[in-house]
Amino acid sequence: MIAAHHHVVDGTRLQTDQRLEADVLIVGTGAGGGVAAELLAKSGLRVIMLETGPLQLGRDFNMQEQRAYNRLYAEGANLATADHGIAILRGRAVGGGTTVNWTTSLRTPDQTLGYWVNRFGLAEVSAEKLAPWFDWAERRFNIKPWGIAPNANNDVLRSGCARLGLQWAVIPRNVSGCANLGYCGMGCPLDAKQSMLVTTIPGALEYGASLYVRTRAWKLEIRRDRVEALIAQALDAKSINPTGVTLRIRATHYLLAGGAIHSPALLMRSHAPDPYRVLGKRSFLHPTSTSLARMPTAVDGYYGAPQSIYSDHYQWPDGAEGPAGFKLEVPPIHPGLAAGIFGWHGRKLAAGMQDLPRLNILLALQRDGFDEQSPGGEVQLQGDGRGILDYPLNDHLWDGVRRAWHAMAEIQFAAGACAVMPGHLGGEFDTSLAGIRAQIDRLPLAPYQAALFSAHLMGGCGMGANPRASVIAASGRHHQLENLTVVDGSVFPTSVGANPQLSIFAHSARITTGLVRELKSGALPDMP
Amino acid sequence: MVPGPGLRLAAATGRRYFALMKWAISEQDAREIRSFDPQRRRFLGGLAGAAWLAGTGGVVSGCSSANVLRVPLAAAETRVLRMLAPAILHGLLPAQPAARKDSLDELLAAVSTSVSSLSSASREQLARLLAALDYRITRWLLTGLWKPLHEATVAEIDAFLHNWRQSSVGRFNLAYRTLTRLLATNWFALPANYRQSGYPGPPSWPAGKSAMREA
Ligand SMILES: Cc1cc2nc3c(=O)[nH]c(=O)nc-3n(C[C@H](O)[C@H](O)[C@H](O)COP(=O)(O)OP(=O)(O)OC[C@H]3O[C@@H](n4cnc5c(N)ncnc54)[C@H](O)[C@@H]3O)c2cc1C
Ligand code: SF4
Repeated sequence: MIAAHHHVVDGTRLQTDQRLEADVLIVGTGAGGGVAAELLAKSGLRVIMLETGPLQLGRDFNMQEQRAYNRLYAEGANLATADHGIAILRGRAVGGGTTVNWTTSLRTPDQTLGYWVNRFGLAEVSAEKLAPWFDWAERRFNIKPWGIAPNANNDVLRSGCARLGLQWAVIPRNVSGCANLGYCGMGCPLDAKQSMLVTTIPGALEYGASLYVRTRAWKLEIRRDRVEALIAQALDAKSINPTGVTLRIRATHYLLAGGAIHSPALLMRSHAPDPYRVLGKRSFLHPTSTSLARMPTAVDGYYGAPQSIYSDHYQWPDGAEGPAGFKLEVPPIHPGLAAGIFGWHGRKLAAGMQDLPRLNILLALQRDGFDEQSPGGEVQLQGDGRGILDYPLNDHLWDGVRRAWHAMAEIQFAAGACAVMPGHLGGEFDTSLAGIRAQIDRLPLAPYQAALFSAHLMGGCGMGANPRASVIAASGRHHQLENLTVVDGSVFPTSVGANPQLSIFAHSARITTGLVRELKSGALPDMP
Repeated sequence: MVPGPGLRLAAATGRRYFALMKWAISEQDAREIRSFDPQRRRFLGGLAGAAWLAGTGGVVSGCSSANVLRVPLAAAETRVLRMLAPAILHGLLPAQPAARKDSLDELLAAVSTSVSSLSSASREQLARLLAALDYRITRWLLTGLWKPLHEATVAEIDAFLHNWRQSSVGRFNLAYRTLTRLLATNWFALPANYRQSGYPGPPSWPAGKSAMREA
């Protein structure tokens, strides 16, 4: 637990400009930054962590949606891609996404790793070479297949797949002493979720690291091929606007872990060398479509571990390339979130919402970035210099959405649904599979009409052997800057094809361990 | 002022013309948002395109300038949202006037907190949309309503929301999603309204703490 004797500074309270020094400066305290911080501090290096969001602890988490979204999510959970075509959930507090995520902890699929080895020359990340890093992360975060029966919402996916003879499996979760409450998305009130907030960040602080919250890394000062310093802004109580106080931090090494929009954005703002114009490109987000079902009996999708079953039946239809594959899961169903997914008004909204206890929702997470037709999006800088993700929607993607709606409806009916509806402004509940199939084929596939969202930001500082086609090397090191390394979800050259946190833990541990060995030979003997 | 038949005709054609113009604008709009130049970005941000078409860009962006952006919700914005709420939340608001007012106050306070979490760029886009609905000419172009929103009936507001939802013009769908989401999400997330969705609320505290935990 983060405790009183730890060195935590709230940027909002700073009155005067600061000059600081460290061996390693880490930007961001999410999945990647958290893992790195603990390993670096443990090795004896002086570490400073910067975090845009506030520090909120388990006792602050009261299972109220509004409060959680406003305090723990970027833009109060109203973030979206540049043209608003895809809504984005992104954690923005100490612990980043891990503070609010749904605890699904899956390894990077072998097919994805094989694709990275072959397409991006990344022999270092073959399934065999990564296995010890996954083992390590699974131990560190107590990741085990969920041992309690799935809640009824997840059971719709399980029983539907079982009846149709489709593949399904139990999800491993990073929890310890979990009471199966179902409020992971609002911050775990029991500190049962093994997020960075309760594991590696207190770990790093215990080894003497410093944490600056409500403090945003704004610009790197770069001279030739080295970063000389980083300028950060202290932020107001809402973690939005700068107070005017700045911090200038010099470090031997700089570690970026601001997530897949903000790590590329920081490099772009800093005019980091990008001779082949690859920075911020190939950004992915598992575009996610939804299918809603009214079940004959109570589902109570707001209670119980939010995600405990998945199906990869449609994930690799033709190997890695070709038409988009998708992973099937479910979201937790709380009233605010559900109202947003319906996206309606008036009587239709009231009618849709009145049966919330019987509502089941399935999600199809599309695996983007594996085909020429799926180039992903691009991080850009807005007028105020902040990063935004531009993600054009194309026919390859819409084709996947349409197939996913069909697949989800079939599973929901097989599980006994009374009525099913695709997540679309023009959607209507229909009681027959034939009816819903006709509706799905009729609905226009257009942005804003089809409800699309993402909670998985990846790419933008992709790894690769070839500097012409990637931003960093397999070691995590920037191809052009010798003292800058990236350790968050932005390092992936395609989407992961599975919920990303465990992949990020493993890569951050692998990359950071390499860095420690370079900066401080002999440290971290326990690591693979 | 009630529009005469001539004006109504003009409104109908105007809407169609506007729909076409919006199509062209929305393509450009995406590019504008990416552009770095704040002067250019002001120009066609989302529905401010309507203001620009009507030659009122100055007025509208005047309303949505720095002073508005600094408060969570400006008075005029709250007014617009208050007028939309009975249509968006049709059948959900209490009928009794005092209870209705309290519940709208609570909703607007929640919306205001949400709005204060937006980045300045998103805040500006919302300000423009609300200003465009407040300002007569742009409102008329966007909704066909010449009269002020507070004189419009729930049915009239419901009708334009329907049109926005079913429009083949993406920007209208987006405006629809933005406003309905802002009000509906906040409404159903308020503990006072849990029963309307049948949500029993979070497990009582600290009962959850002693609840069965996995081994
Ligand atoms: C609601 C939700 C549910 C999810 N469920 C799951 C799940 O069940 N399983 C799973 O595997 N994944 C899940 N994810 C995704 C997962 O949490 C993320 O992929 C992961 O946390 C990303 O790690 P990261 O290190 O790339 O960045 P993040 O965890 O996003 O951390 C980045 C941090 O850096 C901070 N930051 C950004 N820019 C700056 C800056 N300039 N200066 C200082 N700080 C900065 C941010 O505020 C943030 O806290 C979920 C995400 C969400 C939002
Ligand atoms: S389900 Fe478990 S991990 Fe999630 S909030 Fe409840 S106790 Fe915490």
